[in-house]
Amino acid sequence: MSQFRALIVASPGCRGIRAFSHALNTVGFESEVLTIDDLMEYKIDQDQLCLKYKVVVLPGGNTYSNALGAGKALAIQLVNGLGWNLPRFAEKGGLVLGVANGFQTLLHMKVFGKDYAFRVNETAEVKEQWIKVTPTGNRCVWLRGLGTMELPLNQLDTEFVIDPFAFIEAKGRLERLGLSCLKEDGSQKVVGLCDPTGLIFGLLPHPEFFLSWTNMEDWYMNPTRAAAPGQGLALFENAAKYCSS
Amino acid sequence: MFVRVETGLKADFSDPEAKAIHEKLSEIHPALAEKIRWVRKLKVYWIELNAPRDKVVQTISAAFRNSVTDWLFSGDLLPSAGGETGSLFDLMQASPFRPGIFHGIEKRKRLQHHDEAALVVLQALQTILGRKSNQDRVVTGELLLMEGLKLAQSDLEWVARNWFSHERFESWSLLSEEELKRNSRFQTEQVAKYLMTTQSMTRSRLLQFRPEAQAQAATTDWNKVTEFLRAPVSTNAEAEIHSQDDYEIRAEIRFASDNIHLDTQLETEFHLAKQQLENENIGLQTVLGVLPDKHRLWQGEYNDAHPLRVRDEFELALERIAETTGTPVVQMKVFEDSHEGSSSYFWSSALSMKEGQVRPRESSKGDIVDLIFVGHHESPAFNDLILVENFKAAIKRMNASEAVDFALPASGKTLLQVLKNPNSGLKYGFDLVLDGILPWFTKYLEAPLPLSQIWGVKEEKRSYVLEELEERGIPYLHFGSTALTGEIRILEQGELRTKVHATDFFKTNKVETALCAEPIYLEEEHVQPAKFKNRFSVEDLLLKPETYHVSISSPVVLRPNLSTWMGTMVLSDLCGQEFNPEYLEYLFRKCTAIGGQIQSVQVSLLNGLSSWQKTLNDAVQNFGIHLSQIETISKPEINAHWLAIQVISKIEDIRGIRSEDFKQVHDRIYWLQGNFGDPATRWLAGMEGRYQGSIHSAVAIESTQDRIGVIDTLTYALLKHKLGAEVKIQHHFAAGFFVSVNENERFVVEQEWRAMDINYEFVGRITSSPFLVIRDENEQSHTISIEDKV
Repeated sequence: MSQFRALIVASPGCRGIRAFSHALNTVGFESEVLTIDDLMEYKIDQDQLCLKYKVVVLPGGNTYSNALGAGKALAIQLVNGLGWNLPRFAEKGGLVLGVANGFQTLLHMKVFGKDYAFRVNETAEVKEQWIKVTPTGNRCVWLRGLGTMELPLNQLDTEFVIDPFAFIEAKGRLERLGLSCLKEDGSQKVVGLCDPTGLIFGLLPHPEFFLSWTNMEDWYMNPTRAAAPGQGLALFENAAKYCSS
Repeated sequence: MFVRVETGLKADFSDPEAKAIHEKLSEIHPALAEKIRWVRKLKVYWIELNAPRDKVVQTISAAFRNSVTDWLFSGDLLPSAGGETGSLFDLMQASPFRPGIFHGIEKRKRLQHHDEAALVVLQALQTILGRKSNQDRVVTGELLLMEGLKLAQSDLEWVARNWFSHERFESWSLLSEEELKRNSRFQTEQVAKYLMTTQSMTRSRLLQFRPEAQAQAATTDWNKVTEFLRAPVSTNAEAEIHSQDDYEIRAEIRFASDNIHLDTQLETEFHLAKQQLENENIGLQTVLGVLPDKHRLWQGEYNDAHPLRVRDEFELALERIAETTGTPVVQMKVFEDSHEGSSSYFWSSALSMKEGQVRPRESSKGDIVDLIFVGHHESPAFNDLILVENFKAAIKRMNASEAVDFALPASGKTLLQVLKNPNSGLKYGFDLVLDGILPWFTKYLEAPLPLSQIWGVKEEKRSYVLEELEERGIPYLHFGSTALTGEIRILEQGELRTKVHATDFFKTNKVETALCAEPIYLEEEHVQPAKFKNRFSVEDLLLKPETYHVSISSPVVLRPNLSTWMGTMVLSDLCGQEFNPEYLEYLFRKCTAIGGQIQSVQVSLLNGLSSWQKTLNDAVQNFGIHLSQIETISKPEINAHWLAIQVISKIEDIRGIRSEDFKQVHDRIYWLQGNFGDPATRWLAGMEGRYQGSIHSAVAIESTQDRIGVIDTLTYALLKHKLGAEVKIQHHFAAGFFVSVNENERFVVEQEWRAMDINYEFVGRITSSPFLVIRDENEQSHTISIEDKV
């Protein structure tokens, strides 16, 4: 496993880097954290990316102060600055995970098509809660074999939106190709998308913040499970399984 | 290329962020929030990109366009990105209240403040363009688009100032519906104008010379200036070493541009403590330390001090430095008042180094001083207090600069008795010139005030002192000088009239008669009739921060605190013998009508009557108001009885102050019954209730007025704006108020009146034609021309 390297893209305002690093190292990847400036300096373009890394992780947070919209500035840096094309990276077997703001970055990079977006929720306040999510379909590599999970959410833009001018077509594609691979339990709101290959996965809740059972707020209600791994770790284990298979 | 870009959610989507702003506003100002029926928020970017148009279009589209959720407005750059028309009109169509009345508030980051968003946007744009350029610039802001039929400009200003923008680091402007619908704000000139302004606002530009000074500055030897300013000045002897050549620098340097008035505030400036002004050496070091280092703007901080006063003190310190050391004068110029919530002020310095402006070094020229009588001749209650203020300031300044050798209080005595003061320094004798002195002392010497003084001024300081007095409008008379002859001499028309030995003069009292047989002061001959019941137009007097004095000639004055908008209002009037308790109550109502909460009453009596005293005592008991007598003057020879009243009241927010004049056609006129302490009075004074702001104007009715008096009241209220009214006067409206309310707002106001048990009655409406149409109890109409009535 140690031959597979995972790149965690750090940008101004992102968070959860250490958690991602810990998760990836736990499941057997060799994680590497590089900032945008590092990537520029080391000239990690599309070719270098495909050559060096098997997994790319875009963490959440408030990258670039959400100045042009959540994740937009980072997307511009990756696409226009570094020339990254993540679908091509996936075609070559690479895995991509975008969480929360990183998910928005993937949307702005048009990885899932150009008709989907998330907008600010109706309360205009950051939703900070644990939500139950259920994988749908079997396309997404990251979610294989997983059932309903409880993951922490910390997000302002939670309303999934389909372009009203191409609604029917876009909605049909979403279901037909099984892109909407993760939905909130109960409300059935889309909280995760994957690309047609199933290798690029973006989701709103943070799996990296549930690596151990004690990450849960009320873990002490069930102290016997204190040493158990968190449900978020399963996603990274799936990635490791895919790479080693 | 200059581009303005606006992005906002499409009309299909609700705008939660704008909704949140509205909800929070409704918690703070419910009445105002009710007027806003629909609101959207857009992000605005002002951009200058050094690239051809097609590149710019591509870049803007890549950076700002989110075709799923957002519309992008950019004038004619990307018309297809912004709905059907490509303008805000599309968004306005989403309002449920269309066609509606739309307003916009635009805010943008001030330039001296860090704008993270602008840096990110700039970086993103340059990344897309694939190159970096120092000529690219971005400024970010937001636009609040609102719909509200009743929204007035004052409401929008309130939202902008108190809620939407933070004035410390953001500037704002209001946009009308026409401006919002038109795309003129996207025009290159408009965007460039702002971005060019921003360029000139940067610190390096700000510290450059004004255009008129640039030519001079180019020819100035700055090394010489710096060297000169750094020259040691610790002793006078060293200062004398400077030859006249040192002063030949003619450049007038101004260290800030007028643009400082506009959108900028300077954050980190030199901080000048008060102690640095008190000691001239420290002050000078401060100036020298500051000027060469390009930190040519600095900030002074004085709690509760008027900025002009602060400047005066600093000027004084610098002038004193100049006088004692021979350094050129450094002048101060106040540029900007403080921003809200702070007591700091900004100003810039102008270093005048023109030849001839350097003051001569002080040198001793003997002990002969000029005798100058300065002063004020009557009580402050009967006069314009600005003179008193000026006089106090002048005395302070003279003392600080040691321009006056000695000052003698000139009250209650004859002139010679005053000059007999052993502290006067006149023991070696003096010359007294009688020419012109008699009428002068008729007016001034008898004043029972400590505000008349005789100053001894050295010759070299004379012009300085007289200039100061003239500048401040203080009357003075140069009537003599000290002498070293040991004699007291009285001169008239250039000839010696009498003289005595100084020792005799200072030891005995009888000599005075020998010196001056005629009394040096005379009785008042002219008695002015008392003015009574001032009528005034509040609008002419309000909101003038420079109004800083109280006098009978200004019946209502305000002393606003510009940082909190609280104010003290002083309503003054002068009454004659016919003063009665009802009139005092009327004054209280008048204060309340304007919006004041009465705090205390000050009175000054001239030949006071015992009936007044009783009335005033009753008032204290009945109203529970603090009453203070400033002065009681008894002058039997003046055949008059005057009572000056000043009602001091507090105003919570001077911006919400009311006028006595009816202003708007179709407003409803109500009569509110209320005396001092009644619910109506408390409501009008702003002590209870919420909807006082809905009242357009309020006018107090005199309790003694009969029906004709009520008509007079209405007539005067209508006169200012040449309006008329249709009213029903079917009974006598005793003591109360007439108020005017907008038709749309009357329901909430009436509801509040009912809830507060305020007795009110609908009287009529304001009309545009200048006639008063009155319907009496027999339903007969009488039409009176306002002008004729006046």
